[in-house]
Amino acid sequence: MSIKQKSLDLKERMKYALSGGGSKAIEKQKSVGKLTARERVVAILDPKTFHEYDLFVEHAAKDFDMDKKYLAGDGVITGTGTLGGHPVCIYAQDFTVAGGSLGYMHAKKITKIMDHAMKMKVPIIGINDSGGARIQEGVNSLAGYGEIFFRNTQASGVIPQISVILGPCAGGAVYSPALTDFVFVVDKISKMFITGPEVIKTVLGEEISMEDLGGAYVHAAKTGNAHFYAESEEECFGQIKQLCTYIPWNNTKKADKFPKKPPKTRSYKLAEIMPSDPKEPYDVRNIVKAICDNSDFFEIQKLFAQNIIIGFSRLDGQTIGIIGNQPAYLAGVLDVDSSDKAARFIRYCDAFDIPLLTLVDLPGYLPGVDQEHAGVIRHGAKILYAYSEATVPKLTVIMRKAYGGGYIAMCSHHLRADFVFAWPMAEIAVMGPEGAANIIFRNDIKNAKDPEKVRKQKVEEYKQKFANPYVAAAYGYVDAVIEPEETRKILIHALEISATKDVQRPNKKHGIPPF
Amino acid sequence: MDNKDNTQKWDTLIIENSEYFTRVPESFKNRKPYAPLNPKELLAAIPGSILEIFLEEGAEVQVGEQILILEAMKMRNLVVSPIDGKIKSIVVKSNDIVRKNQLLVEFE
Repeated sequence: MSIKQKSLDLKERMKYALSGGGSKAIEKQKSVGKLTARERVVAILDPKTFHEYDLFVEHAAKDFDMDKKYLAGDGVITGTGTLGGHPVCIYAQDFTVAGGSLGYMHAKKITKIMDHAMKMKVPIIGINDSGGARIQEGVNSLAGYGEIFFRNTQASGVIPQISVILGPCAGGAVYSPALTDFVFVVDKISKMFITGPEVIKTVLGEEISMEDLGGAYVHAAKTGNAHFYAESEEECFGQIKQLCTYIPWNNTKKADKFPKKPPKTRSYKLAEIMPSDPKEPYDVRNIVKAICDNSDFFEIQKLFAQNIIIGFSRLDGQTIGIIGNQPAYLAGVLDVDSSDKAARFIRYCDAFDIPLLTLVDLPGYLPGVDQEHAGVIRHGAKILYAYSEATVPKLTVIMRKAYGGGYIAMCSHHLRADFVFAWPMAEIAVMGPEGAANIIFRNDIKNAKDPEKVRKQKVEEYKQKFANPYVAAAYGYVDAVIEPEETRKILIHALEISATKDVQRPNKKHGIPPF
Repeated sequence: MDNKDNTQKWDTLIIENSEYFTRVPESFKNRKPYAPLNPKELLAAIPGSILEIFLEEGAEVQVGEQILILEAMKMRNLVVSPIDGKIKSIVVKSNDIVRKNQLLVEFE
């Protein structure tokens, strides 16, 4: 064969391999509003930067006549490219090839690109669209999942891991996304569950649709498995690109600095956002927008445990992670889900050297049998653990209420915040005035001629004396009581001062957080 | 949830005697009130199907005595009496599919 012939031969082979599951299967994929695996990769990466590897990998199945079958690329596409100008590794399961089922070589391709990402210390993006284990390959497909899970765990906190669920992701397959940092889902396309509706029906006699069991909205709003919810694949890719502007490329790097931009204070006036009465609600996201660069707030898990907000923004061009109580939802209480949500985000920021800003306004933990029995002690402890463990710069602003255990949990000085600022409206106390007065003055109230009058009087007395930031400031638990308008300036200064922060924690293999 | 929108009606949530104006999700409003376990009721600990029932209504039972087999998760689970007593009624029959916490047997 001449060189030309060899070159033609390569082209032929590539064409064959690139045809995926064939035109019919591709048509079917498109008919449900899905892009093909290769189209998705190209849409996420910077234009013309995708380089594919292992195109000629063939499956290794021998039983059940599988040796007679050709599966293009064994149902998964792997490669490298750039995102926002920075290198990334990426893989995408190809549902048109044997339903994207995971066999031995399919898994090998994935673990190979994951190993590459770890070696090069660049993010790994995984696009999931697979019917699950390739049953014909038996225990080898189980081995494949296990190898992926191990690598997810090794890579956790070293390189960013992003999972994009663009099709079914069922059974064992769900645990790779669950182990990664960010999970993206798309309405009507993403489906995640351990056991599907069919099994549930036969075993339990319960009927439920796939969408209601493990659709995108369920995971974004109810289970908390997903971090980002989109209406279309296109919107989802936009979210991925935006996320990648905020995060560093590995745990030894800082996130890109952006040009400084002041907040849009005409739209977001601090003085007008928050009512002074601690019982009145407001949207804490508007506070973030009044403080941060360009009034940007890239919210994570927007629909889940809405009583706490988490997300990224920037101060003076530098990425910060924000945790804030949301008084407009369940009064901003801490509970099982909000503790889980915040704790995981705090650990993410700590692992990737992203300073934390905590905005405090909460009445405490949510009371109730269901919360106690759901393990609010165990889950609530996670937030204490995560804050205490974190060594990144930790800035706290106590805006209004900070009562009881909630005060401690929301990055107080006691959990080693570097700076705690309080607004003049702040009420830092062991509990709300009504509750406290009822306990402290129980007898005075009970024995009074007019108990209601005395109760009100005592509540007012308590308010005057304790519902302010000055008692805590007197002990140094608050570093400065500041006017709300000064907040941005002082936070930027605090970040500057914290840039060279150096704290040591006791040497250990690892702690034992209350998982 | 924009605070400039004054037309929104807020829910209230009481914490430590203080009443807060906020949004309370339906799931929270509709949560089941706590009811203590009734020792006279035997509930399914796991969803599955009733494979076999050994005793009849009115039977005297002792703690640990086998009442029925609940097949679940590919296992035949022996369901035994948690108390010494008399069976008032057996609410399920063979081949019934039962949910978790569904009533199986009532004791007198």
